[in-house]
Amino acid sequence: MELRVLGRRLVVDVDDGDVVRWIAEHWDFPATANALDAEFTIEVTGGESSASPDLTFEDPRGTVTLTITGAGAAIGIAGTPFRAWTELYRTIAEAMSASGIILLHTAVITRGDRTMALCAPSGVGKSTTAMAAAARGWTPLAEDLAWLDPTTLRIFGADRRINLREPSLGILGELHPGIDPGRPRRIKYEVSYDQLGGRVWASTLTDVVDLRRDDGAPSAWTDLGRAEIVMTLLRSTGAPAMAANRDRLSAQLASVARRLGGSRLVIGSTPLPL
Amino acid sequence: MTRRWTRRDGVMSTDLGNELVVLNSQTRAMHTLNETGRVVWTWAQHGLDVVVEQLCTTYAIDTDTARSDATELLDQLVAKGLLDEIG
Repeated sequence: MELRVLGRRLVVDVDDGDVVRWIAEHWDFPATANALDAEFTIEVTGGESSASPDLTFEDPRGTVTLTITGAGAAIGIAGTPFRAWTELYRTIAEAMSASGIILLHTAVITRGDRTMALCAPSGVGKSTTAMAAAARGWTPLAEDLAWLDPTTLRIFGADRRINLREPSLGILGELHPGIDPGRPRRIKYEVSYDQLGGRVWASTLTDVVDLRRDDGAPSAWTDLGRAEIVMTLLRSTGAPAMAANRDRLSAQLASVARRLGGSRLVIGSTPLPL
Repeated sequence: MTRRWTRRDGVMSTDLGNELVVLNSQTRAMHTLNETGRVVWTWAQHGLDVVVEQLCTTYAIDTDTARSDATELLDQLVAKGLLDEIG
């Protein structure tokens, strides 16, 4: 199988059908497949990626190794049956990072000439805020994962649906009374972007938003300084495992923070000022 | 011999020109250093004498004050797991 992920070639040469299906589910987004130009190839094969890999994730469910080459990355997987999905995701993301783009754990919404990355740890309210924004004329771009090109500030959705925990269902019913979330898959309910009125796959990021929950305060915006913008983005990227990727990300964030607006949005006791 | 420091493995620093954001990826703790702290961080690997010289040149402060302030900050950075003293 061969995919394009934001212009990068992702070549999967393994016999394990579960791995092929998993990679297609998590990495095959035709809408953005060729959105960027890039000369970078990631190859996934069985066995070790090289005799001395740059990175090794070992887990009882499987082992994943990564070797960065000049214009690409080799990923090796081992384990029968292979089930180290988190490690494989992290490794492909690390390879993508080596190709020069940034993975953000964020919700993204866009309206007019503004596109905001809503950054917060799981459970604070990224999805709920994106849902509330959709009810007020914003269009969602991502609910949980997005890629940022630090050169152009173009941002691309990298998830397929909105996942809601049970406490958010009441808000869903309030804001979008026609939507039936159905039964939960594991612990989360799934709402499609179409149910919310559609999505966009790409935009140009203008603002970073640090979401905070404070039930005792009114919902409100405050400005962030540049260091706070960097810290907000760092919380959304995490630190890459490879030193070279950490150095690259440090430089990218310094550049990105100079070109973006930043705000903190307190999710409080009053309606969100969106 | 002058004291010197090196950045601990896994520490990320993002230089914003007049301030610095430092992430300890092991603990996930983040710290900001102001302009003076940025000078200390930047020159720590070259030794305390160089840090003091840079502070005195940049901020026109006396050597004793610069040495005292720099040492205090460097000790804090070591305590937070961001730097290791190497000699």
